[in-house]
Amino acid sequence: MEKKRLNTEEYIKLIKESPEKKRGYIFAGATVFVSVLLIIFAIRPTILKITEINASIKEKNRLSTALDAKISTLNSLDKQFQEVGTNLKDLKLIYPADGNFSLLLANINPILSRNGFFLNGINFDKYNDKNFTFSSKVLVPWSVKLSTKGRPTNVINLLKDLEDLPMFPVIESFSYTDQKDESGLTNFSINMRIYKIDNTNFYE
Amino acid sequence: MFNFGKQSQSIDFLQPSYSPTDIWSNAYIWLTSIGKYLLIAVEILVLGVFFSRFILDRQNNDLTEEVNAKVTLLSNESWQKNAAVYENYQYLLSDIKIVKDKQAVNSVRISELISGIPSSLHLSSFGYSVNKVTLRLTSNSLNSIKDYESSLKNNPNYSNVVFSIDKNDDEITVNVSFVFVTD
Repeated sequence: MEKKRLNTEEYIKLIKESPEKKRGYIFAGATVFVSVLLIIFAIRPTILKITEINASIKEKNRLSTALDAKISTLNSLDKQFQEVGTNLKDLKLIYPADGNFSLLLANINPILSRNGFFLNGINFDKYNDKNFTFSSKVLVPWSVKLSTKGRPTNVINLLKDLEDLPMFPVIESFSYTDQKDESGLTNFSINMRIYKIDNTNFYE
Repeated sequence: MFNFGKQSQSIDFLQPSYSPTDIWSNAYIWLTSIGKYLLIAVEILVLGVFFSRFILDRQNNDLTEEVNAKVTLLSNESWQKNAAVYENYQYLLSDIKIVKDKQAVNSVRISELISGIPSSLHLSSFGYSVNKVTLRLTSNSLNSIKDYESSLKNNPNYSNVVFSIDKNDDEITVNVSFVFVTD
């Protein structure tokens, strides 16, 4: 059988469209396809999981640092409390958590006597005025009414001494008239705002 | 399986001397040439990803254990009690600072007010309640009362100054009320 002779153009066409080249393309495509499948179904979920783990590590690091800070703060507060604990415990008397104003009562009589006043009566009551404008976290205003008699010339010193008490009381109302009793003393009514704590376990 | 032995005898340079025709031979040849590098690259990537996951998993577990240990330590009853007490003291001290710094000292105001009354006026009653002041004054001199009225009305610390004057024989009685101006 006589072989058909090919010209140059046909040779080039034959090379370009050779079955080997086609097979090569198919294998390359198949490998790329398999690699892409591997990347999508094996590597991508793992990378997503790694991102999650990274976020979790970051959060745990933050938490761990916060816990470290809390532990070191508590340790330092423990040391400070050992140093000044006895002084802090005096606050129980100044701002009682059980409504026992024994320190105030113990201080009032000497202050009155020092200024030449006599105590007629004392009364503790709920604070009803709306003059307490600042917000406090634990201190609750309370009211103490003093009925006393003495000389008007000494009353300013008395008021100053009362407001100098360690519990920082404030004169809320104060009144008197110039009527004198048989001993020449004037009656005064003093209403003060004091503070207490509404939590019996506050200091424990 | 593979027909590697059957190599055609040819001097045609356009035809490769050896060219397998079945699919498995082609796959093998491709795998050992270009595909090998592609697969190695993907395997390196996969191994890298998996190793990094192992390392991160271990790091995460270590951190979890560390956090749990710290939480257990802080959950201890005495630590919790101490923490609550210290927190209470901190709140109390901040409240004391607020009370000390922010509240007005009224004894000073009352002192300034009483000492500011002229000696020609006699204070017969005094009342102070939540910034409001009421005074009852007696005098024989109307001029003194007028001077005092103008001084109170011109004082920027007082507002709503009201004077009511009663004259009975020679004695003049004045009821005064006003309000302290707060900041």
